[in-house]
Amino acid sequence: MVGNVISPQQFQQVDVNRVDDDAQLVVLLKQGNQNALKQLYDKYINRTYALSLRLSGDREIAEDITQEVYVQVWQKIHNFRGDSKFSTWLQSVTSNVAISHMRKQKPWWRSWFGSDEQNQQALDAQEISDDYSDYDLSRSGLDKHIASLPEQARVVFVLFAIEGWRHEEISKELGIAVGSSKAQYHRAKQLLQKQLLAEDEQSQTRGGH
Amino acid sequence: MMTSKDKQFDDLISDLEPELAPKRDLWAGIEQAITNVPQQTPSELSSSTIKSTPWLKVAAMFAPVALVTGLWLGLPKGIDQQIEEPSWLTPVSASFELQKQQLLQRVSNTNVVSPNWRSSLTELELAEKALKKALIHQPEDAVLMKMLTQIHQQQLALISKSHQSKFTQI
Repeated sequence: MVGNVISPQQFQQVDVNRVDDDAQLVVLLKQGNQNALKQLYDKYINRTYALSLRLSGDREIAEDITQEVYVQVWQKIHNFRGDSKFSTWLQSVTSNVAISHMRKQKPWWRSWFGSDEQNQQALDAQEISDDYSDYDLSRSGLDKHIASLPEQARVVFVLFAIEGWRHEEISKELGIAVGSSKAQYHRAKQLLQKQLLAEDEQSQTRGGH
Repeated sequence: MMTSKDKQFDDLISDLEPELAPKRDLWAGIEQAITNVPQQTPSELSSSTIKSTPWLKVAAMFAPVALVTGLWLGLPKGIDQQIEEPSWLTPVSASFELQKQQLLQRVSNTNVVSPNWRSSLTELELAEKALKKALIHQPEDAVLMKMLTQIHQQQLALISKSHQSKFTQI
């Protein structure tokens, strides 16, 4: 863990609300300090929620996932040994919880990760709807299109393109072939580019009239 | 080779906001949950990696046998009789209670290595009771269900680790 080592006795004298260093908050959290979790929650809630929302594509599910993430952090903080930044570990926990949550919600989800041909068929069968009134569109139009991707393609795309996972890591996490992960990513990218192009053409048409 | 279209696309991705705010306060639910759920110690975490079996599936497999046996033996005993749990939860509870009673019987002739194990078990049982109450009101809550299975696992782990066979001691 990066930073100075502070004894538990010293920590007892620390005002948790004034601690802004992750490493110190983690030590307090490992001692069972709920305020430390609240501090970390306040600091990272929006990042956790953003990833949960992009993976799930649904606001309510993202809220459930976000809550579960912080309960898991509370329970399993001793798993964090400081080999990486806390924020990196937290993003990894979020991805794991989100994927696990979606699997539980839709038992058939995993079965869709069959052959590339099956994936292709599943993707082709999806109609991309423009009706995402529930989704927060105020920040980025791309987010709207990511949310409209088929679930499998969306998860692979978010993990690879936004979170920077490698296809090998995605394949291990999702229990799919590396080739399937790559195929899902490229298909997601194609669909997104197609959507963006259509959106661009629509806006030009409107502008022309 | 990267085309200008690909470059534009990559730029759009890098422009995505890293943070989005939820529309409601999520902390209250988290606070309530962590009050009822103890932190796992490092030893529990290492054993939890071993016992990463799909608990619900195992429970479901044994549920019919456990239910019948449990009823026959007058199980479940203890706190489960104090609350009216939903019928869908009964097989899970019955299966767990059966395992717990069998484990308690198995360790009854072994040495206790953690003198306070009974009070720790009572705390876990209280947490279990609180979760079951919550599940009555929110039966579809996957988080609560997961927490309940974890509490069950923690109880079994506590009983096992608090006792040591004489053979192991030698």
